[in-house]
Amino acid sequence: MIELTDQQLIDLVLKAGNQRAFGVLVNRHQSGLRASLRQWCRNDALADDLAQETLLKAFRKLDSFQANAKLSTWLYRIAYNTFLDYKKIKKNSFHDGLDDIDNVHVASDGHMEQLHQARDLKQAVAQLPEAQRQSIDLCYTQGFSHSEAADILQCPVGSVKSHIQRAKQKLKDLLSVASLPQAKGAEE
Amino acid sequence: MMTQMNDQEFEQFLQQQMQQSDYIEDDGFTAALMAQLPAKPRRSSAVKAKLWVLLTAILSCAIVWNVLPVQIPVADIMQALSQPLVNIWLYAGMAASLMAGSVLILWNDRSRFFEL
Repeated sequence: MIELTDQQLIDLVLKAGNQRAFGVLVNRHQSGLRASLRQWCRNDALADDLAQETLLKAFRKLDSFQANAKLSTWLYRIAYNTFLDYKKIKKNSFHDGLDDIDNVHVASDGHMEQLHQARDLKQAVAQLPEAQRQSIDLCYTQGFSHSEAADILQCPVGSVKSHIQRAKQKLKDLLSVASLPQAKGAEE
Repeated sequence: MMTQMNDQEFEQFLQQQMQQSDYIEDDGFTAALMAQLPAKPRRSSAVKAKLWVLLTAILSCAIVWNVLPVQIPVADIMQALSQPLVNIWLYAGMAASLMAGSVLILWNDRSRFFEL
């Protein structure tokens, strides 16, 4: 069975009104999109709702997609804007989903407290500030280049590189602390 | 141990670990989304509407033709139209109009005519 490219599927949707082709596109991109939104929101149910909203927006604006662009970059840009819109609406009550992560502590003075019991890289990434977490997710998990990530996040490429650099240092610090003997001994 | 990794090793570790992230099963996500898409317009309704417009236009012309108080010199017009040069331009113009009209109609309704 020949697998159609993203562009071929888009052409089917736009020129033939074939909604099943859009279903194939959704199925192809839903995992990465939902994974990223779960990283950004730190709330699985909210992330899936935002992913649905993102893909509906994409369907409505599909005729504005430029043929020479990469569909995933375009989708993630919509997802990021959807995420930002949600944050604006729920500014006061936005929940970072910290309850989803075990053994998470946030110091009251605003500085990030080292996570002594963090062994899982995923938990460590979840501790990063939002911009760093998003940059790491887009470039390392989703495989976007720095310029693509900058396009999605609508910031300069230099900012993305800077976020990644700082994120890597923080992750190293977090994971280093987690692997210290006294950290392991405290759990026993 | 993390403390013993240099930057390059940590970079490789990070890439390896982050790319191993679990695939999220669809689990009805796509189906739920597809259910929210707008329903496709019925194929026959637009075509029927166009046919009705065409029929009405033809009937209107026929009625107007019948009730016109003025005598239209049909014979003179036909004689003029039968001239060779006039014929060529006339038929070429008619063919071009029909073609342009067909292309416009097909383009406008392409999603219905070429649906797979």
